[in-house]
Amino acid sequence: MKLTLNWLKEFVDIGVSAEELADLYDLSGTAIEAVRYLGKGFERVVVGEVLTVSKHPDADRLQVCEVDLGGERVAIICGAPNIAAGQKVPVARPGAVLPNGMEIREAKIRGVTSVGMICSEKELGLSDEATGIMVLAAESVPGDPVGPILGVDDWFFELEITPNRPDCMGLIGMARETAALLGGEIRRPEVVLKEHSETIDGLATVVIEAPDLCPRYSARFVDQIKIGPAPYWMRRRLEAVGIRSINNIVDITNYVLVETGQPLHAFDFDLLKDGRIVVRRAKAQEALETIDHVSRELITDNLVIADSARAVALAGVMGGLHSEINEQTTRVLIESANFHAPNIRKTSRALGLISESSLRFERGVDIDGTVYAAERAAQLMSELAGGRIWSGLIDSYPELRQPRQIELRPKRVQAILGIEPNAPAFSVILNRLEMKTQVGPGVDDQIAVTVPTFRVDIEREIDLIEEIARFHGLNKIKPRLLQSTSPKRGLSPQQKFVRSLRELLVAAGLTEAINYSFISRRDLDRLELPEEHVWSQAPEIANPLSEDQALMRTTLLSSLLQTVSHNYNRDQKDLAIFEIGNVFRPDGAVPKQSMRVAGAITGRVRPSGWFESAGSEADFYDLKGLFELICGQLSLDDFHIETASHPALSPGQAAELISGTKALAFFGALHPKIQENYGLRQPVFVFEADVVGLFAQAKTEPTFSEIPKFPAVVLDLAMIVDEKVSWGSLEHLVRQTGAPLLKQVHLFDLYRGEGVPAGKKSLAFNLTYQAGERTLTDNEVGHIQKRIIQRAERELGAQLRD
Amino acid sequence: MSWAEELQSIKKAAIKAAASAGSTAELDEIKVKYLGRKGALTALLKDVGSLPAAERPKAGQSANAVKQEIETALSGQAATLGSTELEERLAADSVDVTLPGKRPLVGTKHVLNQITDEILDIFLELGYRVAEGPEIEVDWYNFEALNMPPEHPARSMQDTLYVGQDNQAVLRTHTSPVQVRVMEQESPPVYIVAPGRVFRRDVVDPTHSPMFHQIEGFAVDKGVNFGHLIGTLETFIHQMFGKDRKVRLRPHFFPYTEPSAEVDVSCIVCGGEGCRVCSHTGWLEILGCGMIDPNVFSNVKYDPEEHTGFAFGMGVERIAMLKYGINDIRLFFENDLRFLGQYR
Repeated sequence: MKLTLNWLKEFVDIGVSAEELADLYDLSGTAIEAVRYLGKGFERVVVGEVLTVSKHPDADRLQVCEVDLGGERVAIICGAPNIAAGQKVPVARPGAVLPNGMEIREAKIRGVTSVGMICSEKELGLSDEATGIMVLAAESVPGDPVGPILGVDDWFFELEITPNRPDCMGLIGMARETAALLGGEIRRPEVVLKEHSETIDGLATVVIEAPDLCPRYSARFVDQIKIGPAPYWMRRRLEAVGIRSINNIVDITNYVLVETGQPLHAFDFDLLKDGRIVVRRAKAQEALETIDHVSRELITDNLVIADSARAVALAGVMGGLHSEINEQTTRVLIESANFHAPNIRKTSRALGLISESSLRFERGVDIDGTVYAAERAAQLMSELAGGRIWSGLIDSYPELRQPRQIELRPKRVQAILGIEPNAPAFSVILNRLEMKTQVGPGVDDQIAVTVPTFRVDIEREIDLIEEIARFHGLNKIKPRLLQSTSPKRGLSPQQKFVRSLRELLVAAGLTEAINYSFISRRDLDRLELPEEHVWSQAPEIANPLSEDQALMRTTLLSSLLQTVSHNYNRDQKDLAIFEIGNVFRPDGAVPKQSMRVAGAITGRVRPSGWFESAGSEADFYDLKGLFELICGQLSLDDFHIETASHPALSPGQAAELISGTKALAFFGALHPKIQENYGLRQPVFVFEADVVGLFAQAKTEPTFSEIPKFPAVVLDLAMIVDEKVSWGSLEHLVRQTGAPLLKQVHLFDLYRGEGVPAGKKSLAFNLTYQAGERTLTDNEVGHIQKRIIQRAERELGAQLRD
Repeated sequence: MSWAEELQSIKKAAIKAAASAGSTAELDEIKVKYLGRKGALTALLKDVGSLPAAERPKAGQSANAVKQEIETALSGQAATLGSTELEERLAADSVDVTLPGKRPLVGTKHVLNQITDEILDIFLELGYRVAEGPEIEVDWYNFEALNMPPEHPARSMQDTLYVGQDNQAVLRTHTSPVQVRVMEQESPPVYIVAPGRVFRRDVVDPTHSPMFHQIEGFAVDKGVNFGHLIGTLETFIHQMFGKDRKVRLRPHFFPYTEPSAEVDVSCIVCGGEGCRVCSHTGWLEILGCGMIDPNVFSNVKYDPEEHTGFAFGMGVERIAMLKYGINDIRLFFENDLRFLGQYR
């Protein structure tokens, strides 16, 4: 809601400054969007009287004017076509800085000195366009500041009216709120109509065919209208609150809208067929061209105002072009109606059409306000546009609404607010808001409250308690400590696991990223996915703001690779990052989410320095080491790692973490093609894992096992095997054969080269044997070693290396 | 030379050698030469058997005494040599303490998660528990159960992104749906904090993001009133921003609470004097709150006459921006290491 302070003061006395008023509003529920003095820029603009106008000696289009500034005469050069001697005009004196920032100085124009500038409305920021200089009223006194004359010695307020307070979307409503804050009464402009003897009965008829959507329709009729501009003061006020001036009739409807909050519409009566108004649902595909020159095709949910032939307005939202007020209009039907809020909102949303009218109707307008607004508009049309008001009022109000009655229990106020019950004090607050109360003598006595119809938001006892809270003052309520009485407290095991996982990855050197949950089709393309891949089945957002945010992500990798690329392109090429977040998959009505953790490592993973000049480039085993760390630190049980194939990974460097039959994670080198798609010129190693799956495998409590009392025997073995024999298969064989005495197998060397035939490799490892209850003998261990060697030779073609 | 003379000669030679040994290695050699398996004293001891029986015990005793004397001499010299050698070795091993160290790489937790955990921990201390809900919600949880029936004007306060079959689902526009989910599942008392991502159909600019993070908190119990709400928020604000911060409430409207308020904290930059950050008001808005609306209670089958409760919600990005003076919300999601690394 935009208003000016002087305009508001017509309805209520305000004895505080604009700043003080703003604070009062702020602390009582009306947030301040902006407060501004409108006279800024007018400090050195005064009334001038043009005494003489003569041609500039050296410029065809310019005139030299002699201007009286009240006891001082100056020469001012002016190029406006409408300048004439005898006019009173606004003059910006040298040193003025106009509202648009223009600085006025004494200047020589083609040899003649101009002391100031005669201003147009545009130059003064009073309107968007101007054809010439502004001419002030003849009675203006030269030398007077123009601020008060132009109505700019005023304050502009932009208020945030919450959706529950449509009554504050008019000056009278804000005056009521102000009066309740300051203590005082509001004034409504008195409407006394000079009615002509001719009567509206028989001239116009109103039929409400959809009373569920239009509970009331009031109308007045005015003829002999002369269309022209509205008077300056009215235009100024409308412009100040952001409403463009059109003509006197339209401006009057808007002016009354701002005053009362009741939207009005003026029809050119001669363009309404048969003088008939029908309020009905639109016919399917019914066409209506609205005043914004857009042809709209309607549906039956839309409510229209029609004449006997066709729709002439989109009820409560916008008028139709056909019956719009135009320069030839002389007879006007003023519509002042009430519409069903949800329906107006639906229509406004569906058509993307938001107007001053729809903004109010969609929140709810006072059903008792229609007649006053129609008559106020008729009065102004008579006063300002020469109109003649026909006697009588059309007021179709099929079902009379009664003011609501609500009981307020002071004890309930105490239960909600924590303040002492005080029926008389509560009653006073409600009375100031124009609610009638009946109350007994006791502080606990129930209060019977009658709620005026303009307070559409007050339906329940709690709504009254809110009013008590606002005017009692929230900051006067005593703070109290409150500790949970619930036995359920703290983090759940899974929440703790996620925290540990995050801390662990950070400690391991990875930095945490947070990316949008959205991705684009292009992001998926960059991952080179087969169409049937599960990652390609991304849930689509129905109304995305951009293509970049059209899909819900199915993997964290695509966003993480963007993070890599963002940093890489900014010369940060050594990266270790991760993210924990949800991914989505379609699942009927509501896509399903699952929590994943993903990471990417590229460039140097250990710092270079004087001790190691090259640093160490990330490779597959850095990533695998990270996984081993995660599994170890988070006590993951029962898993193994297998070679895998994954579209995102390089075929030779891809692995999966398997638990039971489920792959909980994949990791490996990013496929070079994807790497290239992201513009990365170095290998990137990535992983993604199912967080809940990992959690399910994590031992939450460690179990105790006895510390060995007897010494371990550690022996070395080195075996030469074919390149294609994996360490995993050898290790598996060794462990299987050595069980249960073999406790640890540690690979300490992998060697190819001299002494090892081509196509083969040497694997050297320690074997740690230990028994819980005795010292092992050389013989016993030697025997196991021998069996290991034999099996390796037989099953893997291994050969003992000396 | 008699056996006894030979013993004395070995003793003399060994002690002399020990005293003149220049290194521990030399001492080891001397030890082997005299006391080793094939050493001089060992050899002499073997000869004891050839002596007359009456002399044998005495000879054995004197040989052992000599052995001890040699060992004492050896260990004495070893101690002398050892400390010298240690000194030399330590001198050789000295480092330039001004050379850069080999620092282990450590990452950083995202600043938003740092703030989130800090906030959650304050409420965990008060006995709350953490609940989470899905980021894609159905209309009931995101709107209707929160007292926003279809066509409710408050729905336009939050521009919504739709998803799923026939667009029946929404990306949750706030964390308040968690309230409904928890209350549908369990009876009072409930004391919950619920962090998470939320989504709005907003064009990205320095202060708007289509995705951001909220933390919702709510408590429902017997006898909970607005005073408890203020007390709880003051406790939170004092722990989060310092105990000198002032707290101010301004009445507001939310469909799911009544009465509702926005909460300001005295500016954490200027302390309330007025500065650019607080737009010269001295106050910063940091959260919204209110008493849970009876309609919400009805929707989850709670009796509003028996239990009352409050709820509050705050934006994590906003708090991080205020706390650290970050001027652009986009920085949180760009994940530039030069930004993330500032919050260790």
